[in-house]
Amino acid sequence: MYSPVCHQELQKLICNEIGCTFLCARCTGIYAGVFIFSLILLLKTNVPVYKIKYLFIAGTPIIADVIASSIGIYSYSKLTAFITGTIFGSAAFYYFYIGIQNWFFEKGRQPQ
Amino acid sequence: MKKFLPSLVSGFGAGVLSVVPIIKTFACCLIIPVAATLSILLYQRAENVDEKIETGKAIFLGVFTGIFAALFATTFEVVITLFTKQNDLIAAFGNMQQMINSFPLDDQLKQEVIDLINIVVTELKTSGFSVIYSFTLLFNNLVINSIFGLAGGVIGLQIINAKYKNR
Repeated sequence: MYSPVCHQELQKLICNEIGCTFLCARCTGIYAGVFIFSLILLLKTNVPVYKIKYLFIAGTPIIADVIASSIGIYSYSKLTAFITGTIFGSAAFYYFYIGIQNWFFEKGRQPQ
Repeated sequence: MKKFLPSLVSGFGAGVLSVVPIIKTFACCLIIPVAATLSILLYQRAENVDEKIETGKAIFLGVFTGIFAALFATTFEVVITLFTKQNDLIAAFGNMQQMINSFPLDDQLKQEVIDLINIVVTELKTSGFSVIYSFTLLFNNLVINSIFGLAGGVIGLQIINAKYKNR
């Protein structure tokens, strides 16, 4: 279950006394970022458009964390994975939102 | 058919990578969006387009990349299982039973789910093929890959269109 969207390695799940998340800390962060940012954008009426380079900037911490924890510069931390995932998920959703907004704009410009 | 070609090519690539062990864990979040972006680049090359591409086109290419990737990935997975009689579902069956038992659901319902999965696992172990498994896999892949293909197409388009910003 959920295996198509995450590797779900047991030691990387966020657990407490109630149970564990179905996704790893990083994926939970990504989807949490998408969810949080979708709520923020839902409340905002005027969304500024930022250059696409910020998506790469937001993606840098997650890539750095994956590389650093994989090669052993520091040990894997669920909190770091969650935070870097949230940053990337938020940025990815922002650009997805801008893209969909552009689509509606393009459709509006087309002659009926 | 020509308009589907970029999606077919990149979808095939993504489908192949989706069954490679280790790499397949990145299938939805990385491979499919990258394949969707690649299909836009292929479309640009094939049609000799040197201007901004419309979002509708990117969505079309992204969704179809996801659909083709799902079709190829499911086919490869089913064929591999047919020969090896081994796959992720069989490997995870023990843990899956524990997880289903931890759900706050009616005991009878939980038992029915476990029995159904047990039938599928038995079929896979004996003949290497299960209709329920194949259909579920195809349905899962179609839904997930289409969504991630769409997202990849929309976000990838902005990366590609960035160089035409000042035109």
